[in-house]
Amino acid sequence: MSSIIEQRRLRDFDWFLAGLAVIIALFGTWQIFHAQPEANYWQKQLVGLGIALTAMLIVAFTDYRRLVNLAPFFYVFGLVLLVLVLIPGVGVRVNGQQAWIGVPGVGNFQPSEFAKIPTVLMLAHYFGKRHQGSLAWKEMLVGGGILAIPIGLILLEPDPGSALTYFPLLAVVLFLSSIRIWIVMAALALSLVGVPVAYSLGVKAGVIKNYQQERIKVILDPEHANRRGFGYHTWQSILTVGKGGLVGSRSSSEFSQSRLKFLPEPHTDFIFAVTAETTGFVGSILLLAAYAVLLSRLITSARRAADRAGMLVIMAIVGGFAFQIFINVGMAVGLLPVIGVPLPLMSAGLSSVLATFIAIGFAISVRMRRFVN
Amino acid sequence: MSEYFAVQTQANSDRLRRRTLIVALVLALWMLIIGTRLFYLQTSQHGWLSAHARAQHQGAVSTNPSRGLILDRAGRELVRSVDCDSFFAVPSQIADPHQTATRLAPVLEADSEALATRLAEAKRTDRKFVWIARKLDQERAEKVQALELHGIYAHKESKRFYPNGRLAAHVLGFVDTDELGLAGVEQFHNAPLAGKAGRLFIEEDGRRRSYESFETQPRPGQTVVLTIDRTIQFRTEQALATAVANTRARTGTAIVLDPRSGEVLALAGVPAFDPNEAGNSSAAARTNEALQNIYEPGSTFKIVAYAAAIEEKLIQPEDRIDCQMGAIDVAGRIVRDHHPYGMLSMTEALAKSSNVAAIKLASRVGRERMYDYITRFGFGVRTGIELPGETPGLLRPVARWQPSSIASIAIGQEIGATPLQVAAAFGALANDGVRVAPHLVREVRHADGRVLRRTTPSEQRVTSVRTARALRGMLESVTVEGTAKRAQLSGYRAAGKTGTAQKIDPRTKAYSKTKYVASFVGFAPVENPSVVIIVVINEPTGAYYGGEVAAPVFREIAESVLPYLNVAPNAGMPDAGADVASDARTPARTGSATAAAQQVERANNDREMFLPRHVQRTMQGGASEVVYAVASGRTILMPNLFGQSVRDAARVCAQLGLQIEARGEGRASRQRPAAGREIEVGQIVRVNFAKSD
Repeated sequence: MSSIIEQRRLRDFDWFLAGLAVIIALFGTWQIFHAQPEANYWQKQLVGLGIALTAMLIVAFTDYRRLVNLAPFFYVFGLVLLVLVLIPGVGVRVNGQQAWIGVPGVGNFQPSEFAKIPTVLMLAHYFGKRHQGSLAWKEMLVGGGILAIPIGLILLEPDPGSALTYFPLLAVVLFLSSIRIWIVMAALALSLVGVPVAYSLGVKAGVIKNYQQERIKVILDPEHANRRGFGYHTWQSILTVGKGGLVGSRSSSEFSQSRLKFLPEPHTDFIFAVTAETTGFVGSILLLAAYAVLLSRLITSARRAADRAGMLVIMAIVGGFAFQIFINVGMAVGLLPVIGVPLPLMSAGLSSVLATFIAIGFAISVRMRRFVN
Repeated sequence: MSEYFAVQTQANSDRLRRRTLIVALVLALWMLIIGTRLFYLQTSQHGWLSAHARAQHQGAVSTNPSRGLILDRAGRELVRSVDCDSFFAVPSQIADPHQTATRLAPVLEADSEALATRLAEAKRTDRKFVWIARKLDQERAEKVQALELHGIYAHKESKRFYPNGRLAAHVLGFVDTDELGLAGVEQFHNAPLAGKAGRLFIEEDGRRRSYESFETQPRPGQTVVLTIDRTIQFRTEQALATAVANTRARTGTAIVLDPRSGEVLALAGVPAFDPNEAGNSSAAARTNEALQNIYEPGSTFKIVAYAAAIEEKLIQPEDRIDCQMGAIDVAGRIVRDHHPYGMLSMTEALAKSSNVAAIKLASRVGRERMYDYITRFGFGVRTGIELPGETPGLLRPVARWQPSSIASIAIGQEIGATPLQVAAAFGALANDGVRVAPHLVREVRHADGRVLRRTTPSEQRVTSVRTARALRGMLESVTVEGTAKRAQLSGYRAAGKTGTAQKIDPRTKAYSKTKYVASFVGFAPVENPSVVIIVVINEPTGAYYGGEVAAPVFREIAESVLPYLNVAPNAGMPDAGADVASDARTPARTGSATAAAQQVERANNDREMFLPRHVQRTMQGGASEVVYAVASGRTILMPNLFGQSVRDAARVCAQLGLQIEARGEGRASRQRPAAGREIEVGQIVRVNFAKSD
């Protein structure tokens, strides 16, 4: 290992990015405590944060170019983990999803969260080589193939929420790798027209089930939808967010939505709703602003990257983060249906924290080597 | 070529920059949407959303956690909570309220019409939850379950149960239907015992299941461990109840206190009540006279004047004092003694309970110093015992004393005290001058057994060791040659003081000629007392002197409790003690021939002391055959259970602190161990029952 870890001057280390990420993670731990004050999730989160920071430092001080060169190896390793979790006895079944591997002493570990890193590296490995011209169909197919294998394995768990978070990785890479703009436009137009049409057709044809309709209806018209049925979680999240008001309602924490268990999974999927309840509009906006700063910092690093692979690694990470943030927050404020996607740096969970900080470690490593010497 | 590539790269990088910007713009747009949505929800919608959230949790039903146990010092259950079923309805799921009501009503012995109306009304107003019946006994609960009605659900609740009935009722107190402590330890420690209520929410869930209830977990109540010993409490109550019945007194109080630790081992009051049915008892029966009512302590209070005089080195125990042939004039008021005495030693003056001597001593001590000693002994302030409603007593500040008050107070008048205060004051003398605050709670434990708090009573030095010991010696003479010969114990040297106070007639505001409070406070063994016992008999009929009415109760309790506590008897005392004791009761004292007979008599007495009355009946036949040995340790005699029903046998065993292992049904036919055998408290007793035909 020591051969690939090279010493760099600490001056080039991105203290700002690392510091901001740690601050958000600590803020998240505080919210986890609010969400589940009687459980030990927040203590576990602190332990996870310690492990994740160590991992981040190791990655940051490693030359990302060597890691990108080794991408096929990591990619295969990631796939092996995704296969392992499907083997009965190795994988742990929680809520009907076989998405976890039990690690003695640490807890459960989620390969689908972790395998994003090798996938990003593999994409950067493949698309980082080319220099000019628009993407050929063959290249797009290979990119799709790189993505399809892990997504297919994850759908076998089945964990569609996690699988969904893989798409933006490819989308961003393709978009930045000079995919023809008309393809993008066509895709956008198709989805703008196609989704509502498909929805109404699906309802008529009976393909889209009642409960799925209700999940949509509660977003479009929460006041009239059946709030006790399948829109229940969304409705509870809207209530929780609304209850926060401008500055939050910490005074009556005994009656907090999460404490009373109205909000499901308040420490993971609905951590943003908890934040909105305890810190109000001010707190939620500050958190979103912190995310915006974090993402823009990453984008700046990407633009200054010494090579194409480095740029793609960071931008894929940005795409992944941004997508998860949007899905999760959108769900919490009732703009999107309930999809189990963790909020990066905030949601409780060792795998999520570890993967997030490793990704940040890559971004730091790229930035540290932005000057071609 | 190279130029072309340069241009191409330039174009590429422009495009890249543009596309990166587009990605950033999409992010910014989304942020804007989210921000707007947040602002909308958290400002303009804040009002009705939070009102909705509030309504949601107010619709919840709180569930009481299991109330904590109350244990005696040995960990035996005094109070327990038993699970029972309550039933509620989810109105939206009841198709036909009328039909449901007609099926439920006969089981619940309720009015079918009223129930139907209630259900229909709840259904109409869209209520989520209606109680149907609470805390049903098992039999009826099973019947309701068997109906298998749609929309009717069971919920476990706990109910308070006092397995020993009246035992220690005044200490334990009782609870109302909502499990709120209304008296005794139940009230004083209501919060830790109650734990924290959980909430039960009822909602339809996403899977269209009929209903979902999710609870926030209640925090279970904590366990309160008392200093009370169940066996000592039982024996104290028995002795007191018998005395009150025999003297046809209005009420009676007895306290057994460990002077070294301040722990109350027993606190009994007659009349008592059954906490299981507290609602059916009178307020008078529920009053804890040991600390809620005051009385004039009378002569027992003289120890304050004596202690002050000795402590201030004004007198020595062997000094002589002129009792002025039984009369003294204090500021124009003449106070008399029962018998005119001339010159007496201090010890004799105390033993004979001379008013004149006590008044002369108090006068020499002086008003301020007397007041100081009174408060140091703990009078005029609450003892701080862990029971509600304690009175501080009545002690006027010196400035409001009349000229004759010093005399009245010296002999325990013009002052109001509780039996507990008097017991604690004697406890100070018994504990070499240090008064340990009396207390009832040893420790509070978490439901899982962890000790959360242990009581550390405050200690205060009242007199020097020398004074306390001198006074103890003087108080022993009260039982040896003074007013309380009936307080002499077999096997132990006892000391104490009698008190006979006239009650103030509420009509005439003068001392009554017929109503008295007879009391005795004592401790044993004299050289190292392990218990202080106070007995207060309120308005006895017939004999009313403390030495006649209260002292025998002291003796009965002490002779039972001291061996039980494994207190070593005083060497050379048993026979002498027995003789003197019987001497006090039967003047004729003859040779050793009668001593044996007396011993048999005493054996019977002792057994009676240990056994409840209905056991005595069954024992009378072959009682004289039983060879009685002085009970050592926590041993009692095995009762004869022959012919008793399972219920009665179980009750007898419970009262004696025995664990019964019953087999069969009907009447008791065989028992192990055999009747009259010495057995340990807590031992398992095997009893076979059989149908008599």
